[in-house]
Amino acid sequence: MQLAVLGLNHNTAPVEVRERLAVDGSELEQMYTQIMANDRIYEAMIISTCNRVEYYIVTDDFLCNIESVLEIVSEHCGMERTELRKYTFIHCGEDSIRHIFRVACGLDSLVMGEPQIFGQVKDSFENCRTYGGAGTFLKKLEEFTIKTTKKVRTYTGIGENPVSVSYAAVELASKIFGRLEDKSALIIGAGEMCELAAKHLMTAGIGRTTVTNRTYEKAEKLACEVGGEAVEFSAFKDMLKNSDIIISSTGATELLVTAADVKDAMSHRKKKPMFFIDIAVPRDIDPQINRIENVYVYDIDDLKAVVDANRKQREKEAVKAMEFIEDGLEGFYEWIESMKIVPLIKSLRGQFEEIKDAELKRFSAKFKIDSEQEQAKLEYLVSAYMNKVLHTPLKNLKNVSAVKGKYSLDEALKILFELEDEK
Amino acid sequence: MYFDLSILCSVLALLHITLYFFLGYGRLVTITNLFAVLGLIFSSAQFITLWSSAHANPFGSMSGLLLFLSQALLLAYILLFFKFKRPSIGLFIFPLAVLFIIGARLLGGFSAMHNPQAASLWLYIHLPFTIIGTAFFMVSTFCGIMYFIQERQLKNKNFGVIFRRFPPLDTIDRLINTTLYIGFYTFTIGLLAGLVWMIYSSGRINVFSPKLVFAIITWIIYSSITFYKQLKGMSPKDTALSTIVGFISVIITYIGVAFFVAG
Repeated sequence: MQLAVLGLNHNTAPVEVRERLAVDGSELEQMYTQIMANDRIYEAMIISTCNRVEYYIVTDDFLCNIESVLEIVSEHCGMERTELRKYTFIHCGEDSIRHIFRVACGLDSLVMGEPQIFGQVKDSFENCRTYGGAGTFLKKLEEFTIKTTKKVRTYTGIGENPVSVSYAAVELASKIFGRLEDKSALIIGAGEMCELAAKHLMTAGIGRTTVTNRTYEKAEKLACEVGGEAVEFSAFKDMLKNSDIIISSTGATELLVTAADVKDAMSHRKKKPMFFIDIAVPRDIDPQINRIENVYVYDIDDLKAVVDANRKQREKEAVKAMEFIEDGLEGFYEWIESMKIVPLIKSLRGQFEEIKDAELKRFSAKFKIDSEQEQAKLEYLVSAYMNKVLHTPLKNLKNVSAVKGKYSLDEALKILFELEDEK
Repeated sequence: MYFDLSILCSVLALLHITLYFFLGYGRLVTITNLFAVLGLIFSSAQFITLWSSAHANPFGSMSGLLLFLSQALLLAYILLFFKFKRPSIGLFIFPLAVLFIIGARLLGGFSAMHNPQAASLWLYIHLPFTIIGTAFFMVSTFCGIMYFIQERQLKNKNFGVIFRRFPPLDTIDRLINTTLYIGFYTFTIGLLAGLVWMIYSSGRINVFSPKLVFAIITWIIYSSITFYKQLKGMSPKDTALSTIVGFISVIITYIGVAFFVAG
């Protein structure tokens, strides 16, 4: 039995194709039923997020059975199989396990190291249990995926250092002010960048947000979304003295905030720091303001430099993460190897059970033990004896089965029964 | 043996905090804290052992003073970590703690008590409180230095390892305030206890005692900073600068007093 994955993601398919293949919650049950209808597919799991759709199957013949999954997917999205093949990838065996570990750790994400994917993978495992796709293999894979991802998140900095401009801006603000709960922000503009930055500030727990825009209604709408207040564009300079963080992204062609405005604001602030983030091109905030004491100005290029540095840092961390993934893979393969011995153990135990039953029958007949109570006591005794005798060799059989090596019969006997040479 | 163990633990704490600074693994901070606590336990054990075996005034020699100062620094690190969870201050504290313990070891044990009567309760309040106060003043100076380093990173837009590991400016400011106030209050208690002890042991306050002159100048410098902060308010940058200037003034005064005594 091995794991195989058929999938597509932001690297292999454009958004139009990803949209068509996406499986929403209401379709999951039907998809699981269709996939599991194939007798040769023993377990299955579907991961469907905005950036990826992946079908994992546990099978003994992945080439044939992945084709049947492709057929189901083709029917579901209404795309020809030949067309679908252009956008999909297939991994099997070790590669598919490595792939799911990479996905869960965020190494395969559009924004490397983003944490949401881990939750989505955990949800997918849960859905797979709910819709009958999970068996021993996937349950163990879930355990290893969670363990490996947690290790990667704990011991590497893959999730640290923001890699989006708006988030980097908020992180920089946190680097100056620490806690944002008692700080106030002024957002100049109501475009997409301002909206993102305002939402990140809200998530970071900013104390007060004020939004201003040339079109007052837009400012009011954004203020409403982020739980702040709107002010008229003509009045925003009066707000500077009460604002710790100022984020600006407007289409203005002239400077909106000059050094004189900031000097005036600082005279009312008892030298409390001010942090300006200028995401606009052309710039809204005079770069000379950075020269004023306790005032920090960052423009879009500075933020991009932060993002690039952070991205490089995450790439370095990804190398460390791969070491943990390889360790996880090794551990999982040890489990797979140990599972190969299970049929042998079952057969051995079955043989002992048969002997036990036959001997009990023979003994009861010979000594005329008819009472059910007496027979139960006898069976309890023999079963206990048998279990004790088998416990050590079966335990050792499982433990050493993953270790590749050849033993002579006497060595094997010593290992199984933990025997020592008679002196 | 406790001397060697406390040196070893402090060196290991320094090593792990340096590794954390460059590698960023959170687990290294846990190990650092463990060694800091062990270092404090062993240096305290050493202090108690010497005290009880020599029956000497533990603060009566330079060795004892340095040992207690290193304990106070380790204690300051542990308390500040629990309150602020910012381990990078250890980069400044541990080297000094290591130096002080090594210094204490090289200078030998405690000297025998010259004047048993001098060892009153007031002395045992005066010296520990003064030393703990000095340790916190030292830490506030380190925080002031950290503030200027981090401020430069932000102004010059350097996003390297210092920017990532040093605390935010606001947090450094809170660290400075906390250490400054703890230092000031403990030093004040120490100074007052010292004056009472002086009256008890010699019947009067000897205003020409170099130690007293030094202590009073230190107190005046730090009380000026704290009162000015309370009354007029100070920007974080000015506070950081005042801690550094304050500590340099203390060192200059100390050297001046030492020369005066030698003279």
